[in-house]
Amino acid sequence: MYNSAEYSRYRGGLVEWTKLLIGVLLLSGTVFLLGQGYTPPGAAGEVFRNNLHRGIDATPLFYTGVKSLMPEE
Amino acid sequence: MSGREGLAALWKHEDWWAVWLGFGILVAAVVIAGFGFGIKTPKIQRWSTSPLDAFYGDVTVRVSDWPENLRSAGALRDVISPQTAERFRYSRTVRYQEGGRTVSESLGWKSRYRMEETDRDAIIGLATSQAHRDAITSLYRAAQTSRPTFGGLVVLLVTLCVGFALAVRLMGEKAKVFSVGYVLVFALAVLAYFIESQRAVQAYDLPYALWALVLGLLISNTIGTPKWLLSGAKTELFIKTGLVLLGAEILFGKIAALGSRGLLVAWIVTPCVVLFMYLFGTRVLKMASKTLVIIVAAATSVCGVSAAIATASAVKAKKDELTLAVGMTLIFTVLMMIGMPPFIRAIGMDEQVGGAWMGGTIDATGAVVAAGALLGDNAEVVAAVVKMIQNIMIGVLAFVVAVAWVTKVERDPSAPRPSAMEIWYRFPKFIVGFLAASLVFSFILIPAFGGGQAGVDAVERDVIGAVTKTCRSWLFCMAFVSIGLESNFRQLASQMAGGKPIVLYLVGQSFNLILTVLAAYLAFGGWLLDPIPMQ
Repeated sequence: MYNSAEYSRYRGGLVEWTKLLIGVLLLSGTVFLLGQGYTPPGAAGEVFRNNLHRGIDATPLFYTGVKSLMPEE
Repeated sequence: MSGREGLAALWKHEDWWAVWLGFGILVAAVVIAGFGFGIKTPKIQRWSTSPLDAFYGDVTVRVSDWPENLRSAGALRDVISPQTAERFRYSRTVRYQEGGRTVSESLGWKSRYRMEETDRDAIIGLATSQAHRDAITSLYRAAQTSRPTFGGLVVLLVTLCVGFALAVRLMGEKAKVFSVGYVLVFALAVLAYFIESQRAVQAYDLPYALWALVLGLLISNTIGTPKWLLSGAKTELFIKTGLVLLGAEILFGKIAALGSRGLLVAWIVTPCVVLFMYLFGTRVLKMASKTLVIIVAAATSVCGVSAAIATASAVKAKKDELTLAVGMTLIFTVLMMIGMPPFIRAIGMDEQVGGAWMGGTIDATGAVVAAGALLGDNAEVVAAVVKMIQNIMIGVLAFVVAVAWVTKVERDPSAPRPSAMEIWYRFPKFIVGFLAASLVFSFILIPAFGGGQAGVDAVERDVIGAVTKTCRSWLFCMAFVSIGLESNFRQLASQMAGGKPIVLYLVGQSFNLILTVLAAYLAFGGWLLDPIPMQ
């Protein structure tokens, strides 16, 4: 793989660092809100609620990452 | 890349280094398992409200027939104190076969917290047999010492750094400059994994690939990426080495155990969808980038992010093309995971057919299992089986696409037919390592570990589960951090090209949904074969 254009070179002025700080705060806020485990009402949130209740990890990308599909370590 | 460098290519080219590093890790994993050293690649643990929990392992004991109504965290919170319920867990592993599944169960405790007698007594109060009480007593004894993973993470950081620094040095770059940038890339990967490991984030299906990209993009699109940091962002080397390790996870012996019905859904529909999407993208939508078309097609029809990574590397795609395909697959995986189970239930579709439909169409494996679990045990079994068989197809797909790209797509039609040597020069060599790892593990290592299902279990538990799988995930996570660090939003936006990639995804996924539901009815719904009698 290769880049189609130049990467974003370092340009660390006060404005740029402020943008990074705002981004970090937004990301932290998002993760904090997600961590509260809010789910949409009705059918849209049914899978999320089931995952939370049963402690299901829905993130694995490949079958070997699904704990319940692999032999007990 | 040039294969014409002769033997020097073996230590000067990134593809070969991916093979050496990948096989170095695989050999180390086999030695660790063979001699019973009990070393595991450290990982970030699941945490809920206390972030430090992420850096401590669990202690576990085997159990059987744990009460059905006390298996979920939610149910445990109703009968023991929330604090004890937070630290205690029940888990089970399932061996899926065509006719059903066998389950093994375990109880665990977060080793960051010493189990008090009051905790033990509260849990013993839930036991329904003497065997349960004995298991809880063993757990209590094991839970008196903590098992932090900080040290293991430092060892992993240093070990991988030494291996990659050597490769970088022999490829003609400065190892010291690489190492400085690498440390921050690794730290960002730890942060991405840490976010993914939060319990609710896992339930929402927001994987490390997303957080790693976001963290990298956040830096590159605000202050920009300093050169020293970029030196440690060896995207291709991380991805290709990770792919060699992924090859070892593709065990052909599993197909026999999983059964032939899944093949009908996963292996007949999938190539049709890949071909349809490729033709639709290149001839109807007339998308300029054939590499983007094939990455989106692979991600949609095989297994999302893993397939996108493998295909992108096989066709030497642009990083922003991979980012775009991964972004789309992550979004639509969540939408399909939440949308399909209620729809299947609403139309009264049979559980097995519904499971096969979801297994063949939802991109990521974790999301397939989560969606199947909501519909019921039968749906979960069938969904997991179909998806696992589809996962195994990733190796065949990467190889076929790599060959097709070298011999057809990249070939100048006016030029003479390339010789076998020319094809070999241009062929991505890490694919050789990827396939070799799969073949060696499937046909040499499994027999060496006892053969049959016992051999598969031993290799999956002691080699893949303990070492290589987590190592591969770390490498992919660092690769996504690196891609983020090397990308900017303007480039990503330019890849959207009037929304054509989204149209391609939507049309391809619709075709996939139609074809898969037909195959699901044929294989599991009684149209061709009767439904499986479940145990």
